Amino acid sequence: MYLFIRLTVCLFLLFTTKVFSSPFDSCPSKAYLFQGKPVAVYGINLVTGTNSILQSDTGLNANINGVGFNEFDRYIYGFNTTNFTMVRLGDNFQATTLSVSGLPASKTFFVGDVYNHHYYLYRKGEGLYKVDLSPLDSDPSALLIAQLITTTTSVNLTDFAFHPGNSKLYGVDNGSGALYEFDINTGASSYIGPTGETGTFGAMYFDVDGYLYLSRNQDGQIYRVNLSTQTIIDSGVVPAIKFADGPFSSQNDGARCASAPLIDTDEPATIDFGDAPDSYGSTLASNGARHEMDNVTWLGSSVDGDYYAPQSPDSDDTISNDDEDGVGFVTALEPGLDSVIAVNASTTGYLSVWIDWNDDGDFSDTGEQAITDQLLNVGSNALVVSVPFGASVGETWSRFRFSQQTGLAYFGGAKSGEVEDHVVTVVAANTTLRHFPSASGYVTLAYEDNWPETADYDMNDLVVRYRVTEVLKDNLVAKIIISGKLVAVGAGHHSGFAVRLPFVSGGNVTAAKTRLFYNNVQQEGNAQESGMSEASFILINDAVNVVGYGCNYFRTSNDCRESVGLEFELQFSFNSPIATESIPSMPYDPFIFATPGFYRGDMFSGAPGRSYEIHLADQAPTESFNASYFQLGQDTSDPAAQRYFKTINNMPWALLIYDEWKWPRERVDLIEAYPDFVGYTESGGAVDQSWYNINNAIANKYY
Amino acid sequence: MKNILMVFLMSLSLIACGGGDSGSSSGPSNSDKPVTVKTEDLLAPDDFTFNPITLQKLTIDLSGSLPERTHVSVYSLFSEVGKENYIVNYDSKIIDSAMTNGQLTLEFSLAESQSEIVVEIWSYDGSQPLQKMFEINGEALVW
Repeated sequence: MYLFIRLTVCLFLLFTTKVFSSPFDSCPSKAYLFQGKPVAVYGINLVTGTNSILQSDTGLNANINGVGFNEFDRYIYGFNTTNFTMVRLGDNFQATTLSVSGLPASKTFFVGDVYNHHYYLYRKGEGLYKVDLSPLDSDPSALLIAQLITTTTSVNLTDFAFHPGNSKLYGVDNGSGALYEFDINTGASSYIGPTGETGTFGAMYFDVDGYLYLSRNQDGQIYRVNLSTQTIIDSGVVPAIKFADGPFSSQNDGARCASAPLIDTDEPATIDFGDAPDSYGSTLASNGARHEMDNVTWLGSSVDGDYYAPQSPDSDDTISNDDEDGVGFVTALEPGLDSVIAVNASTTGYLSVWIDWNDDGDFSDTGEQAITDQLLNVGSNALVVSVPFGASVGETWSRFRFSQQTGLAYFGGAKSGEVEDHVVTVVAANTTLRHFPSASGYVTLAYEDNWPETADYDMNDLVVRYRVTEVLKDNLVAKIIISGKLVAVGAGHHSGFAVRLPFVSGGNVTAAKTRLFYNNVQQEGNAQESGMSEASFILINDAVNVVGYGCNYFRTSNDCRESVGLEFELQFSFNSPIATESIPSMPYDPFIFATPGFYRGDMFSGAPGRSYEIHLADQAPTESFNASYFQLGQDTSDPAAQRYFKTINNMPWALLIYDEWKWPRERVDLIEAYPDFVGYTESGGAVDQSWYNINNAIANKYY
Repeated sequence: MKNILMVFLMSLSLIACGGGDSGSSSGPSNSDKPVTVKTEDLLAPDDFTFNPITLQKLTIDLSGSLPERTHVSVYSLFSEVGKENYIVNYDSKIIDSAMTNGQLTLEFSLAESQSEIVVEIWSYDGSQPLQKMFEINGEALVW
């Protein structure tokens, strides 16, 4: 009876193997690693080095090596090194033995790959062969013919791989670490350059961008060689850079669909990236810091997956959920002193921290690794770091990597955990940082641009996220940072955005220290307005043109759902720091003006340019404003009564909203999207103070 | 849960509106109001400036009970995880300042809709912070 069951099961398995060994559905982004005898197949995520066993029984009690993925029929081909035969495997990793003639008898092959429906085999001192696979298209048991390309094969290879861009084979000599290129028509090899790494590189793969990945048998380390352009290949500068930690084995071979990108955006994102500028090593192209999510290890309340490392004006919190929430700088970072950083951990694990103390755009300087493999407890951990004496005062970047792995660098892949990149501010002693509205939040400024006429009150003609940070030294305001984003331009007119500090002398601003950044890039020229007695700064000269988008009504109409294109940051300091009671309260006076040279309605003869301004209600305009414009159209401004930019009904042209507000869609009236604004307005702000909250908005009326 | 319930009620009433009769709806739904007025028709009080900002002053006097050098931070977002034990949202920090000998006065801005804040005082020895929650109701903020 037992024998009968066993036979039945075996027959069933045999049957299912034959019938269901079907090709792969697609060109997979995973790499496949074949190890051991009997061979086992692992799936490897090259981005992070994580791996899992996919099949421990291919149906053969043998080792399979020299494997390659055939994009033509989507089977994996390889060589049975135990029995000296060719095999192919489908999506269930069951091996079928193929009939081949023309290969040397009793010789095994450890090096192979597939290109253009041909299987290429290589053995040092024996030869380079190719086998046409097309007969299998009509007959899976067809006899295949191996053709000798050359017998001149002196390079000591354990694998090679086809470049998806130039149809040449590349392999690294195990003894010398030299990279060689092989012409597949003649078999001629040519030396490209040193990779700087030696060892048994049993598995080699390409990705669609032309990066070559080398998996070293001895320690499982995965290296990357940039062969993405012919110029790089021709230069011979081809260093192998440590990319991730994979599995190790004495017998190794790899196959991958070379035309697949490394990260499959059709599948849920499972990798967390940082979002510091790329000079810190953030993007995949720069071998940036990245962690495979293990559903256990993260900082703060969560971690979410990303397909790429977002760069300004995007951030990890804007392209997906706000998961950069595990790190608090709870004391001042002062040069030469200790500081405490609070870190919330989901589980026990190891934390490493880098801080760019000299603010030169990298984490590679001596002493910039502030914490190394610190074991964290579940929950809040208070960590003490020493700020070097020479640390630059001002904003800089930090990187926190939390993982079950130790020994991580500030770049490269990790198999578990999360990376959080945070801007930190190193301050001089006795410094206070005062934020409006908070360290990382924004208020929203929303403008109607048709002043002095009322228009459609969709409050989206120009919408800006806005934040102010004051740096107080010994209770005097010494420096101000104004940052924000241009988030919507539902404009008919060309407007600029500026901010002025009423009653603060323009001459007190240190010209050499005034810097305006767009998306982290410093802009030329001085943002401070010249010829004005008060301090005033132009942040955006023309909102319509500042971001290159090709549709009208930027981010207010469904036809123009673009990404935010501009993040700005203005920094300026005072020659003589100002007492807090003498500086206007934040947000100061943010306003829009007419971009010079553009029509502004029939009310104005010619282009009013900088003499035209729109401010928050009852905020007086700047000295550049043309006072003869008061009381034009629907405007009822009256300087004698300190009344500015209001209609006869006391309605404004600009609103400051204490939130990252969702503005109404194009031509949707404000109270149609936010009905509570009626009660708020008519009560003079006594009720419905949360009118702008998204929970009080009408669906499909806001952007 | 409250929000989910609200959204549910609102979607019910929206369906009711679609039928042209919303007379029986009892939920506090804004969508029941037909938009007959426009924003430009609203009438605001003369002195109203639509300014949603309130200025706050926090006075701390814990002299004698704290080390000479501590650091104070004020947060607008937090969750309570135990009696008078809070997890603050670090991104919501409004102001932070060094404090000497446990005495400090801080002035800062809040949204008029903000009803609570949490203040943390950290020492530099790696110990957990002192925390205190304040209600914003017009009374002086004193610790």
